[in-house]
Amino acid sequence: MPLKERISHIDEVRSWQGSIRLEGVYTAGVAGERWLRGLQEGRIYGTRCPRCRYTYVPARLFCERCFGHLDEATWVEVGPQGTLTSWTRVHVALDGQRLSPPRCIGLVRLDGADALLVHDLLEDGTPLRVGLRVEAVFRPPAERVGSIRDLAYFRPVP
Amino acid sequence: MAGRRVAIVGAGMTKFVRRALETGPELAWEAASKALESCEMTLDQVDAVVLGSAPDAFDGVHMKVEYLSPGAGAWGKPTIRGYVGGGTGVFAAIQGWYHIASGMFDTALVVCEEKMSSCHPHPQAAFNYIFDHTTERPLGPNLLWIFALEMNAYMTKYGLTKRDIALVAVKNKRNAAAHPAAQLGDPNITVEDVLNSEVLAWPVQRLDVSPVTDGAVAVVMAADHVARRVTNRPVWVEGVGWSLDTQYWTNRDLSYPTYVEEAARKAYAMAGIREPRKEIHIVEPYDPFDYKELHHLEGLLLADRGKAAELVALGIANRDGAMPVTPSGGLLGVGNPIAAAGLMKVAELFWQLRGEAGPRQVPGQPKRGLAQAWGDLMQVGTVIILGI
Ligand SMILES: [Zn+2]
Repeated sequence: MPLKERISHIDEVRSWQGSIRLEGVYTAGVAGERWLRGLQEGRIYGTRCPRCRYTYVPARLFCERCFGHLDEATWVEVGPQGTLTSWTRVHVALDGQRLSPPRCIGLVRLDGADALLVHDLLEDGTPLRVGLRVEAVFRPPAERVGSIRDLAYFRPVP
Repeated sequence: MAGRRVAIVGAGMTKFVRRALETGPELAWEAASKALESCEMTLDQVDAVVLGSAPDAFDGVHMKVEYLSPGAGAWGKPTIRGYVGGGTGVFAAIQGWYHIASGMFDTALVVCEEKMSSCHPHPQAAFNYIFDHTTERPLGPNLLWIFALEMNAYMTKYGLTKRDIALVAVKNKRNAAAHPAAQLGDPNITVEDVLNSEVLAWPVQRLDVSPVTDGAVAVVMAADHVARRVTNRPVWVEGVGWSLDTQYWTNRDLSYPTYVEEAARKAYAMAGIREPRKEIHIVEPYDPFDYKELHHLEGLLLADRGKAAELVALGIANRDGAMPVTPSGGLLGVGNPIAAAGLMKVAELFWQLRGEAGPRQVPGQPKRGLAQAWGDLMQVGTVIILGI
């Protein structure tokens, strides 16, 4: 389309404003229910598939690789320490505003896990690098509600 | 018949409930693993996955089939999403058929899931965005408008009463009482219960409508040579058809579903059926509303126009009648997790034709059945014919 045919001012044509507004209420699921209860207790669980030898974090009800049921016997505690697999420093928010200070996000392989967990990463002056040892820091017990936010952030192991 | 012969060899489903604790992937996994167990197959014997789910908005996850894929066994496999709105459940089985009939794959796992309870407070909210943004949405429309206008037009054209139509809801909810996965089975429901239920948009009342449901259904499909190895009772796909009417719902014949007739004629031709009323032994037409079952029976050419209600009134459509209609209990009785509801009808034919439907079993060893669904913007007809 030639440039001059484009609509540069929406009020030059008839238009209506509309938004798609939907509310969602999500259940955590069979495995998620128990996994979040674990976080509330300050523990991070995974489920380890005995056939595939793969440990899912967050814990899953089934193994997507072999389709086996990951039952009670497959629940294992992982972490709380792990290894930083990648990290980023985010300078722009969703709405385009500059973030000051920037926010740091880490991808962590908890000890004993195969799957990675993404969460906030505390910057304490330690130079960030892939391979850095990090540990989970939980909110104080009284503030925990059974949410991914009960885990406050990861920080470099002192 | 086009392509290779294809059979359904296994089926499984979750309970249909108003709000499941399970996540969408957990529901899908339960149905899919039950379907594989039913034919003693494992995931590594599955060549391809077909995943059906209706609007993303219900589960509240954008691109939800990608989200559901772990539970459908899609990890590391060729996977496709089937999507024609409410017609998806039957269409997903059609997609499973052509994946295999084409010679591309020997087996396919077909999984349909819907978690409508995530959409809060009611999935009705998601439907507000299907209307034209310029000429309809400013009027504040409600999906029920379409059904109420359609039902009224249908009743008026053929002189049908509310009671004639309510009999469908009674039959299906009673049938569902024998279904172990049913949400709304009721062996004691009466026509008065339906006629006295809350008016939603005249002439549509609460019990004329199927419920909001969470659930999942799966079937395993296989090429001839694999199917015969897996089971001695394969249920063959004999015919399929699908067709789309105009997007403008205001431009359709509100008293007759032409798109269903077009889909049915394709399926009958493929199955070599000339006299469907004699050659189809069980019908599972799409019944999100009671009048729609009648509408669809006429579109399927299984009743004369305006005469489907007589099949119900005379008991011909009962489970032990001459042409059992919706012996499962349907969407009105088993429940309506959109895409999963259509595939539930396909699974019902699988169980009925194998004689495995237990207390729901249609007598007389039926040999051939038809399942149909309806969807997109109320304009698509999808039909599958299964036989043994
Ligand atoms: Zn596994």
